Parts: sequence; C-alpha cells; structure tokens
Amino acid sequence: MNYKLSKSYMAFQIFNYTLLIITSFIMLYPIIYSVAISLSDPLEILKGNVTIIPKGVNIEAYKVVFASPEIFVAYLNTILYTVSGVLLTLLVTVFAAYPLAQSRFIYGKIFSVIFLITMFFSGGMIPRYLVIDKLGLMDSRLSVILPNAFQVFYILIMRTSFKSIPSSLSESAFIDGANDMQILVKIMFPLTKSMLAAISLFSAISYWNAYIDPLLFLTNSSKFPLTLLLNKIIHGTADNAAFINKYLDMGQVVGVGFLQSLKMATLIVSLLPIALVYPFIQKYFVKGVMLGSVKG
Amino acid sequence: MKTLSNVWLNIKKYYMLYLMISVALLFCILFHYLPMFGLLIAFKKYDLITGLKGTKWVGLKYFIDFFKDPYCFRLIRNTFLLGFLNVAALYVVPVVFALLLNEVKNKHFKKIAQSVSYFPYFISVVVVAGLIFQIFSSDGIINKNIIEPLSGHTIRFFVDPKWFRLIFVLSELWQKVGYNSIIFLAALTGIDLELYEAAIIDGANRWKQVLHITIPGIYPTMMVVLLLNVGRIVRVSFEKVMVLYNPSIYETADVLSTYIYRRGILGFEFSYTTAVGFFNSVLSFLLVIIANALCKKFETERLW
Repeated sequence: MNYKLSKSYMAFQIFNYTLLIITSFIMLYPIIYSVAISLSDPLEILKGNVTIIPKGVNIEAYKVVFASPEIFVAYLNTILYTVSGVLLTLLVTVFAAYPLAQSRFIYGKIFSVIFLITMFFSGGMIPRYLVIDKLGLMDSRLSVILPNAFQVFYILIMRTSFKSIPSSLSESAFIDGANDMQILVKIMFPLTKSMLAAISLFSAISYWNAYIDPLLFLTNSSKFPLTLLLNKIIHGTADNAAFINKYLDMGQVVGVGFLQSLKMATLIVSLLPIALVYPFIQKYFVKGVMLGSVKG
Repeated sequence: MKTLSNVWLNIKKYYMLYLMISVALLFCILFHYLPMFGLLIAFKKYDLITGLKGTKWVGLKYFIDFFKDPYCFRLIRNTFLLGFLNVAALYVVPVVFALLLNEVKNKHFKKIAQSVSYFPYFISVVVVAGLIFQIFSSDGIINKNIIEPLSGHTIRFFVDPKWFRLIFVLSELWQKVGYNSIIFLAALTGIDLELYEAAIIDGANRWKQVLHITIPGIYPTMMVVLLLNVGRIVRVSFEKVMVLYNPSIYETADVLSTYIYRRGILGFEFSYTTAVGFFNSVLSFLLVIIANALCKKFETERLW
C-alpha cells in the first residue's frame, strides 16, 4: 500500500516507538532507582550522584533488613493473609456463582439484586469499623481476611463462566445420581480453571497489597503485614521497627543517607516476590481482565 | 403461582444450592448490610457504651454541623478536584496509550511494552508512596539532578501544598495507565478489520482511519468505563491520599475520607463522621445517577 511509505507515516512510527520506549522506561525507572539507592554509599546518595546505577556498592542496608525479626514476621503474616484470603474468596465466590448460574434456582434474581446493591452503596468506613468491633474481630487476624472474601465482581464473572458450560454435562451427571456438590467439584471446577486462576490472581494481589484493613483493625505489631510495616518505615513513624529506630535519631550525615538506603532496601525486599512472580502470571492476568471486562 | 408452600418446595428440592449461596449471603450481610444499617448512627448521638438502641435521636444535627465545619468547603473541594483530575487522567491517557500501542506493528515490541506498563499495577500503594517519596525528596533525583542544577533551589514537594495534586495524579497514572488500557485494547481488537480495508480502498490515510473507525469503534467501551468510574470521582482513593499526605499539605491533600479517618477512627467522633461518610456516599450515588440519565438523554450507552 503506497500510503504506508509516506513521510508522515514513517515519522509517526518513529515518534510512536520512541514515546513507547520512553514510557516503558518511566514505568521501570522508579524501581531501578530504588535498587540503586539501596545499594549505594550514603555519602554518594546525599551528594545526588546516584541516578541509575549504585555508587559505592555495598549491601549494608540489606544486611540490616535481613537481620531484623520484624520483617520476617511481617512477611509471614502477609503470606498467611494472602493464602487464606484467596482460598476463602474462592470458596465464597464459587458458592455464590454456582447456584446463580443454575436456571432451576428460580429465586436467584433476588440474591443477585441483594448482592448488586452493595456495589453501588455502602455504609462507609466508620460503620464498617464499628461492625468489626461489635463482631469481636478488632485486632484479630480474621478482620483482615474475612471482609474482603465477598466480592460481587468475582461472583459475576464466575457465574458467567459457569453458565458457559453446557447443561447437558450436569444433566447427565444428575441422571447418574450425582448431587450439586459433586457436580461442582468434579465437573465445574476442571472446566473453569482459567476463570478460577484469574480470580485467584486478582484476589491474591489484593490481599498481598492490603493496607487499609490492617491499618484500621490491627494494633498488635506481631500481626502486621508487610505493607503496614513498610508504611511506618516510610513515614518515619517506625515505633515498631527497632532496626529503623536506631537510624531515625541519627543526626549525622551518614545516618540520614543510610536511612534512605534502608528504606529502599525494605521496599525492594517487600516488592521482590511480586517482581519475581510477575513474568509468569502476567499472561493469566491479562486473560483474566479480558474475560472479566468483555463478558462482565 | 408463588405460594409459600411452593417456595418451600423449591428450597427443599434444591436445598444444596440455597445452602451454598447462604455462605456468600452471610458475608454480604455481615460486612455490607450491617454497616449500611449502622448508618443510623449518623442520626443519633451514638457512643460505644450505650450502643445503638439507647442513644438519642438527633436527626440531621451532625449533617448541619458538617456544613458549618470550617473545613467543609476545603474537603469537598479537594475531594472533587482530586477525584475529577484522577478520573479524567485515568480515562484519557489509557485510551491514548491503547491507540498508540495499537499502531505498533512489531508484535514483540507491543507485548513487551504492554507487560512493562502493567507491572506498576501490581505494586502496593505503600511501595509506590515509598518510591515517590524517595524520587521527590530533597535528596532525590528530581531535586538533586534536575531542579537544583537548573535553579539552585530545592523544591519541597511534600511541604508545599501546591504540588500535591500533580504528584497524586502522576502517581496514579504511573500505576494504572497500563492496567486501564487493557480494556480498550481488548475493544480495539473487536473492531471489524473489513472496515479498515474499505476505508483504505476509499483512500483514507491512517489518521482518518483512526478518527472514523477506531474511535467510534471503542466509543461504547469508553462510555461504559466512564459511567463505571464516575461514582469513583467522589470516593477519592483513601489509600492513596492516606499514604502520601501529611499535616503540612492538608490544604490540598485532605479529602473527605481522610478527614473521616482522623476524626472518626482516631478521634472517636463516630456519629459526626458517619454523617460525613453518608454524605460522601450519597454524592457518589447521585453522580452515577446523573451521568446515567445524561447518557440516556443523548441516546448513548448506559449502565441500565
């Protein structure tokens, strides 16, 4: 096609590629910069010499981070919350979506409406806080796991997924004497693996990065997830992280610079699992969003 | 004929289904409807000890108190402004990004650019804040390597209120442009290729094609996304603001939800802040209804 070789088209292509390369760089740069700071000499940091590569490479900051028990405990908490949260979410979602996908479940519409209303209106932060308190869940690990297991969006896309399975499969299973639970587990699960994976992924990210619920409901520092600990460190209110406290009071130049290394090292350490897992899960993630948005 | 016995028969026959859904229903009621019921607190002089039943009914007192609050205007203004800037930026930029990506012919490059752009979405808000603080700090790269060499000053991005809006929107963009563009990219692949071929035969160049085929092609998607996000204007990301703000920049950074947090959770003024929160929810709901009604009027896509 002649027009493709026109000057303006070529110019645009060059412009486009350049722009996208710059964008990609901007996306990655903060992380690169953060790694550089975490590995640099404090004086170099304060002089502003660190831009992309670390200067005066040393792993002192990481040594301190890995030696601190608070990080370890917070990591375990985060893993605990995420794993149990995802499992619970899958349970709640599937148990809601399966009945709703059955045409014989004639009162399903009522439940749908009840669920959908929560998407548009809610009680707000304070009533939610008070409910958690009245349920006796304040400062308990359950307060971080339970409330977010119910997500209408997941239920909707899961329902769509169940609906797409031909009813002849479950009908023949019924004739063979199976009940709903068996059908769910033996037929539905294997056939909706990709949707289940997508929901697990969304849910896992959500739980891993959760910050508000822990902030509101947890007071015992041994129950803090990584996000909360990191938040305290970044804001310099690390009354619970002894390893930061040591440096907060240091007025010396080196202390101030090292504090930045320390903060960035903690940040990178909490980011690491996600960064490592990302390349593998990325395609499921995109599939999941497409599934959810196009169908939902 | 739906009589009570018919209903009961259906439940008995398919009891497993009802049992299953009751699990979800339990969570829904406990964590969504119970708080909704708790909105009543906004109309009563609630305190933790006396509880809901025992406290006095005061009607709209706390709502009126809020409108008399010296911070009322500032809070509403900040909430709307930050929310609007946020939704607008996260609406326009992802669309442009999707359009640009769509023009890329090299499949590998496209894939890599996409993957890289989605990555920030997976990072927690706290980490993003940490990164932002470091980059924009007095010792950070923006100050030390751009601003100081050029002007000799240091800009204190987190002390001077006027910078917050920019930083807020930039950090939201960085995190969410990629993710938000996915849905538009998906819509773009749904456009019939024959339309493009017909346009080429008619002599349209690429730009004209975009204008007359691509954009109208994703227009329905754009509308739906807009409607879904309108309600979020007022529910400005509590997380994001919480993690980025500090007392010296309350002037531009304090929003309704953070105010509720300080006076409610930290200050225990439950009735007052529930009223403020109720106001926030109602605003959000109204915005969605208005946007939907407008769309109906202009005969375009709508949510219902």
